[in-house]
Amino acid sequence: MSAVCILTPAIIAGWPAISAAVAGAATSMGIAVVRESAVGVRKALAARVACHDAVELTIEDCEVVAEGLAAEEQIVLAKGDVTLRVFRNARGKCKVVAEGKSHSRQELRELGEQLVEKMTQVYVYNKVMTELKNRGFTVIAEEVGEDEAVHIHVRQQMA
Amino acid sequence: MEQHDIEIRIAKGGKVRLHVRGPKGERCLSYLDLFEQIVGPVEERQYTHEFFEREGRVKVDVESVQRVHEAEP
Repeated sequence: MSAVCILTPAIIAGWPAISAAVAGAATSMGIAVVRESAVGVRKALAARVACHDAVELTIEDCEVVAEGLAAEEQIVLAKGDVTLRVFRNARGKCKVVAEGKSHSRQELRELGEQLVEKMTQVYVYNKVMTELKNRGFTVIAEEVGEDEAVHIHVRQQMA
Repeated sequence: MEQHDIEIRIAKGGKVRLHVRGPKGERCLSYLDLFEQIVGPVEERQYTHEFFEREGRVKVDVESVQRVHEAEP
């Protein structure tokens, strides 16, 4: 062996990549994607967050590039009576808002944090696999552990 | 043909742990730099003894000494 290294994810991506990560996370968590775009609901949503009827989370170290993105575009997910919305704010930050009247703020926050963790994992996985395949790496093995971590073994042959 | 193996662990939350096997010396650094570009900043890094080995050819200089004794008359 040569080196062991730990890296912290930093996301700078366009909306399509974020959208793909959200969809992947939703699938693995058993959450349905209700719709990809819901224009005109942002102001009502901000009001509900201000009144503590909804919980808002910011994805740290994540910047969404605005190219090709409509101002009010968002992804809406539903799990039971909980609605989760993922969108880009005016400053380029990716936000998640969770709301559900029969759930406490703590429960909503936990579900929102689970979604954020999962979508970050899916984003990093998609990016790593794309870049490695473009550089001629071969995937030898891939599995998901009990802790939901993804283990990948790749190889590059050198002439 | 030399082969370089990388074991990658992507945790929930996206933190990545890499284990690079095969490349010696600074060639290993190129893989770490690649992943830093792909994923994000390095939080922790450990080099093993193999990292400090040198790759490449070994040059051997051989010197031979011959002693010649003159025969007695």
